[in-house]
Amino acid sequence: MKNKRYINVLLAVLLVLFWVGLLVCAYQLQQYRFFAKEAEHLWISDEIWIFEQLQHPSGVVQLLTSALTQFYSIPFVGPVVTTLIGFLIYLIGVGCLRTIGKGRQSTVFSNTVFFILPAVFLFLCHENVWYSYRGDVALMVAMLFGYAFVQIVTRLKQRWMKSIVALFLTGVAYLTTGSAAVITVVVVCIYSFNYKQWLAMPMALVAWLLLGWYSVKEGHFISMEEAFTPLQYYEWPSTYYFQIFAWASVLVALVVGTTLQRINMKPLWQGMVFVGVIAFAIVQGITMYRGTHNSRNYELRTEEWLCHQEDWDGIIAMHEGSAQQTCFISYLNLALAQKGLLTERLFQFNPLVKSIKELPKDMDSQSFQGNEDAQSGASRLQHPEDSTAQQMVCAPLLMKFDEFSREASKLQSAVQMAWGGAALCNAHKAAFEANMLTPGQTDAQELKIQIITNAVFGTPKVAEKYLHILQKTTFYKDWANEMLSSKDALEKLAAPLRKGLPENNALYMKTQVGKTLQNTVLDADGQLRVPVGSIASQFYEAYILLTLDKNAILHWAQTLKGEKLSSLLQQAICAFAQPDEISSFGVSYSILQQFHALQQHQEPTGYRTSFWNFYYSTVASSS
Amino acid sequence: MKKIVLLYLLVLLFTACSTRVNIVNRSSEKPVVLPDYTDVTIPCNIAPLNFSVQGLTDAALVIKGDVDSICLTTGDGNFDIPLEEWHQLLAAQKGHALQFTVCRSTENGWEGLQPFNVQVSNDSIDPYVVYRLLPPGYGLWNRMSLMQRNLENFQEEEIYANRYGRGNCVNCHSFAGGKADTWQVHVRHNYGGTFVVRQGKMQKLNVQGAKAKPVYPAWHPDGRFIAYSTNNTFFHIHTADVNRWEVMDDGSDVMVVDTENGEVLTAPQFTQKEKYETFPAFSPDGKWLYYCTAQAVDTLTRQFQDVRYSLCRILFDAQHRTFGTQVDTLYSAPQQGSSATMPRVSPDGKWLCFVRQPYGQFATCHLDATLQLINLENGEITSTQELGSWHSWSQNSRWMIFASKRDDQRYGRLYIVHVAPDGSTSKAFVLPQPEATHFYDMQLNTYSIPELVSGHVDMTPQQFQQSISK
Repeated sequence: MKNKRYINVLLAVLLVLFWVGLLVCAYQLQQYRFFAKEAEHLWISDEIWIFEQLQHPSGVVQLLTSALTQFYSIPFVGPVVTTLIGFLIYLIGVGCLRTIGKGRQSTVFSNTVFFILPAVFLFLCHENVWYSYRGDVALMVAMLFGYAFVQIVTRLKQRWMKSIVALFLTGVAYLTTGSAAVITVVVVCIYSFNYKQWLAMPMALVAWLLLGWYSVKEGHFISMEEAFTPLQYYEWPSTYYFQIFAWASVLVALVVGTTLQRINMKPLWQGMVFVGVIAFAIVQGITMYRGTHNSRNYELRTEEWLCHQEDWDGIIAMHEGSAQQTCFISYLNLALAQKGLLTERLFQFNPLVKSIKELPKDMDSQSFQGNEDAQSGASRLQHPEDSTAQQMVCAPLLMKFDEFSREASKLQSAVQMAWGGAALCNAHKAAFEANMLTPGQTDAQELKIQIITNAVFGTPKVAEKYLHILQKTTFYKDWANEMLSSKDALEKLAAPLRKGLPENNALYMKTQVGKTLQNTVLDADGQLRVPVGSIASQFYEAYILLTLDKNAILHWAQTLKGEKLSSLLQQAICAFAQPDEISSFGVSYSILQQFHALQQHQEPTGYRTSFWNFYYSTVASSS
Repeated sequence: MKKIVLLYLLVLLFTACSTRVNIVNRSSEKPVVLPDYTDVTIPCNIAPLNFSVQGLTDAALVIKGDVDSICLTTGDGNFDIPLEEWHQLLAAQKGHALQFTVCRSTENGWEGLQPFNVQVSNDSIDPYVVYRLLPPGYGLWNRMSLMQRNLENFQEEEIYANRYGRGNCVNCHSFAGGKADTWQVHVRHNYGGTFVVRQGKMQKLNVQGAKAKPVYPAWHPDGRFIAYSTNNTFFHIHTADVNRWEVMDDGSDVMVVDTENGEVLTAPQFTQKEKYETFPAFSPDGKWLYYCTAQAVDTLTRQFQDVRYSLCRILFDAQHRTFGTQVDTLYSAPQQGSSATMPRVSPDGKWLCFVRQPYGQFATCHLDATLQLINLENGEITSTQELGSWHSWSQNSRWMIFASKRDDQRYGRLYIVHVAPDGSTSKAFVLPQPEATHFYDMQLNTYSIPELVSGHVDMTPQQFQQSISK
């Protein structure tokens, strides 16, 4: 007896540890995915919008999901609520088992432990970018309907009434949750098998099948597959086996649980079953997570969030040590520029910069051959065998990502919004596309960008339209109300950006990043038209350094005469300017000393992240 | 039992009584009505003109005809006109005006604001319109649907939605003579191709020997030939212009496809390298093929503002499948200094409507594009003063529906305009919607390529998908 108590305590502790562990995993491994869920299911406090959601099967779940996920922009909420949903599924399952198994072996840990499996599989579902959070909520609500069924029918005597309850509840479950109502059917079936209520089972099945078929007929779902499988919880057709596993594990949990209720197991065996299932869940969960986790995608989601929070240090910290910058237009470069560090630390993260242990033997002061123009500079970096170099500078888009993805659009809108000027038009376009590619077209961040850019470009009514939408949200209504309170409010944000637009309209060329930046920072006469050290000027300087554009570098240095120049720019001046002109550009004594040391074949301090090392790395790669 | 029947009758009597609005005072203040339905001309079979009044919540509306009237009250400033009563009123008021009086609640009772009129035309409009509904994107798209809407009520149905086709694109739907059972549509990407529907059956059109995919379609009245343009299209966005983007053709030709065998018919006038030809349209008698043509430029991205399209026509002999040799110019871009695109001839053959814009060919990009009318009898060109494009004629040639971004310069809405026999046009009004103001405020999709159709298109999305999947 005492042993049994000790074992039960131990198992209870293990169970608690499991849920705490799942919470920690959700926080550590997925919390940045939950921030994105807010955009995908933005809650709109609008009667007509709410009513429209309810017109479709699973509309209630859609509303519940929106109601929950609107808080996911607050740290911790997403992981906590998601784990809680998993825990509630467990509790509801235990409740079902207890009610079904009344009079038999009492419900013990070993009977009920299988109900932890749905939570594990739902956790894995979130690794799929197309997965909608509705899937989690739908499973929980469907289980709730199953629980309601067993609670009601155990109080009824007439079999026909139990069948009616099965029919009714399954029908309501389908209209509320969609295809996840199969879980309700499963509960009904398990109950029917246990109590030989053979009429309830087909009634539940009929309700589920009929409503699914009718939903397809009415166009709510595109196919029978969508009507009856987890496919309806994915934005676009995708593999959904984790969701299937989650559903199947409910069935397994009920079957095994009710079977074990009939067996009088010794506490030790119960403990072993319990521990075995927990171990299985953990091992399988880890294995499957490793197999499906897309670290690059998650890194991007993390950067997205940190950018939204303006946590520039956080973004930089993510890349410290890894030193693998992939693209010119990137959150890292934006973060560095926001901190005023882009042109100081440009080559710290550049994969083209190799650690050259030996300086070139034939190096002399004439050995720095820059490029005559940006285009040849860019083409110089096009190493056929090294696509990293090509895309590093020439393609402003993402590597390893679909150019036409929401992630790519969000990145472009964030970075080019910061540039302003000639790139603002593309920031506007990218923000539109990022929002368009979001389910429901309700990405508040991208709507905010478009509100400002529409005001800049002279389409204020569109800005108003988006503001009216944000007025109906929980966390953006204050900002929207502020913008709508007076004409000046929005104009204050738009006016400086409008001032930075090019004087003459032209077509934006997405491949001509350098030209866009040049048109943003310099006017037609080559004079500076943005503040020194602005985001755009840092990116421009970074671009001409990366492309080894000799003329542009020297012109830029000329333009900035009298200002404090970045170390990298000073190093480039040393490399490209005539020896007797170097000092006239304002190159510091220490940089000059380093250059002289380099010319003496001595590796100067900080050589690893210098312009000279980048130059030789690039030249060595291309020769 | 008798008491129950009496009670029932009393209830019926009360509910049958319309709202009484007793106007105690008159004001000269003009109500701000959204959408703006003031002083418009409407078809005698159009859906109710639901609208809201800016600045008022407790309000009443009296719609007065010669004999009947409708009275409504509202607590939120929105008026939802009952469908049946509305149609009864329209039927009784054909050829006459309805007087709309918006009233605001005061201490003394209802104060009537300055009334406005809505003219009910004797002419009806085709009962359906088919259009695309999608976000007003640039090159990318996500969700899009091909929809049909009953213009006599608010019923809207999907003909196709691209979620069935895993994100493909449908465009350039076109109906032969406005008939609902003969139409064509392009599908791009997944399940791609050009599909022709005849009597409810959809088949892929195998175009033989075309240099490029067919784009803008135009049916020959006999339903056998379809004229297409083939366009090498790309777009760019503007860095500092209220027109956000520019869609350009770096090469385009016109061809006519014989749908019986997929054979391509062409003429030297349509395949000139030094010219761009696009936007074909047949005359209702099938004798003329209208099209737009512009001088090609060396570098389109630099010279795009120099590309201006003229409007021309050439004879077409359907029997012999040949073209004439002489090209008539109805609108000369070099002389006029602007571009003419999207020609559409009215079914009675008297008028040609085209879009005039400063340059280029894709009117959707140009917020200043206006609809122009050419009198085909004397060649006179008049402006309708209506900003818009993608116009479609009704079968009685008295109405046009078109897409316009005039409201916010971004989201296209459908506008309907009356065209009198002498070519004069009324003030256009936006397609009625239930809760119109809220609807358009929350609508994040644009209406594109409206086509008036004389009947219901009997095609479900499932049937559409099944047909293109074959």
